[in-house]
Amino acid sequence: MEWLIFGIIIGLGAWGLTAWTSARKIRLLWYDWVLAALAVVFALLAYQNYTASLAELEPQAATFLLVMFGVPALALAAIAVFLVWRRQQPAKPAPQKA
Amino acid sequence: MAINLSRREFLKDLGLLGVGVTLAPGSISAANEIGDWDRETTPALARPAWVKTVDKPTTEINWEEMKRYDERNTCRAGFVKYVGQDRLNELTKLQNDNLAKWLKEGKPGYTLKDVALQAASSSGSATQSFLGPDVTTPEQRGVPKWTGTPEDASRIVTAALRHLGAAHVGFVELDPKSTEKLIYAVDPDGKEIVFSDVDQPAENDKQRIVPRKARWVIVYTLQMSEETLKRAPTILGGQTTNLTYTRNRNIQYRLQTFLKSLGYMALGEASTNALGIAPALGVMAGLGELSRLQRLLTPEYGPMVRVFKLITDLPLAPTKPINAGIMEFCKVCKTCAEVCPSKALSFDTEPTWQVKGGWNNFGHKAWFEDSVKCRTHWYEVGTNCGTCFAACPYAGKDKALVHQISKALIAGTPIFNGPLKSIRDLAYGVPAANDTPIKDPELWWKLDLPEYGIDTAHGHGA
Repeated sequence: MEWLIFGIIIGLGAWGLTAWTSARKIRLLWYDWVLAALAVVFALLAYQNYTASLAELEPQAATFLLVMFGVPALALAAIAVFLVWRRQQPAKPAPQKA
Repeated sequence: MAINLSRREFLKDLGLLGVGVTLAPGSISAANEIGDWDRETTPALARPAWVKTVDKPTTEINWEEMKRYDERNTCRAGFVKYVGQDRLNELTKLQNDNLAKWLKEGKPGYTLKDVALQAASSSGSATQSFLGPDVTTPEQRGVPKWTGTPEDASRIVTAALRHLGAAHVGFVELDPKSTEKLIYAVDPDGKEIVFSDVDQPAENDKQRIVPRKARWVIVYTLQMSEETLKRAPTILGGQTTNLTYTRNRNIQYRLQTFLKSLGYMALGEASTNALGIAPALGVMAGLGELSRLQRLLTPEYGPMVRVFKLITDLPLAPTKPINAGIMEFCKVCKTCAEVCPSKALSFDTEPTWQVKGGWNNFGHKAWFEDSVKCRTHWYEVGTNCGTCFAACPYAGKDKALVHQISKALIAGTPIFNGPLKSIRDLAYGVPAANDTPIKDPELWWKLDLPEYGIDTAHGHGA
């Protein structure tokens, strides 16, 4: 049930993201989606391994696995956001030759 | 047919596709679970996809060199012949003194409540016997004995054993030139086990007679509590071992009752570790692979099992050995050898044909242990230690996905074994080789553990 709810949230999130970006005319390229999808996968791995390791009574492993999968998730998400943000910035005019 | 979509519609559909993709795995999983109820007709064979069945086990065996073994040569029964009576007396005194001292001191894992649990775990079980209890036979019920194909027989025996409390079940057909050599020549009590062309099994003061027509061995595992054994080498840690042996005495009695009620022989272990070499039969039955710690290591439970066996004349479909990459992983891992307080386990990368002593059986390639060192340490800590079992990376509860991912990688790509061992050490830490339990014994008494400390859903429905 937990994963069904996650599926719905992620699906709605993806749908909302596409709607929001299209409304704001933000251009998303294929690799933005790949990076975002990988970030979601790593985030889910971080969550699953963290909660399951706590259930296994292994708090040290839980923390380690949270960091091991969570940091790449955050990094990938940050890169995706940064790439989109940079693409939205107006191009600087080329310097005039003297 | 061309379909015209606006950019907005396309993106909306893409979002819906996202919902579908994320929900699909859950739906497939749910559908499989419903289907499994009907489909799982061979429960003994329901293993993860990365557990491959093979014709020959990962342990190399020279059947011609191998001979049937006298159990009294193990350090379990024959320790005195390796160390002498004086040394044994000295070790026994040391054990008694240590246990008395630690009890009075209230040393964690050795307190009165731990000793009381030890007494409780060891009590209240059926008597083990070779021939099994008297039962109401099919003849007495006025019906012919049960018949079916070997596959049908394997299935009902597996179902019965699961019902009675076993974890995994496998079957080995006895061949005088190979697998029959895994049945002890002499049992722990000194009685010779003899295969003979007789119609019925028998037992006298000197011998246990196995009719040649009884050619099948039922090999099964019982789970131990990994959470409890992580308190090794204390008395508390050893209670899952005690309890598992106690549970098996009842299970064996009931399995004998089941088979004899069907109209077949059920020749069981007359005492602990009787009848045959448990890890070897487990390997041949495909329940696991032989490991560096010289015990059966199963893909599902690691070493957290005890292995039991029983001979019958009910024709059974043999199960094949497996390769889950375990032996290859043992070559790299060496955690058990590193944490062994008595340094009894081999550090060699490759297994060898060369045995360490009379407590080992010739004819197979393994990491032979120094059983005298191991057994001596048992006396020093006053228990059956178990530190190597507790430290094994395969000894886990398998709830976190990382375990399944690691095991699948180990089975398919041995090149990752080194990095996986390093990551494992970082995540879980490396236990000290100084008899300090991996987990606090006192904390165990505050845990909300399941029945017997085991998860009976673990290892099934792969």
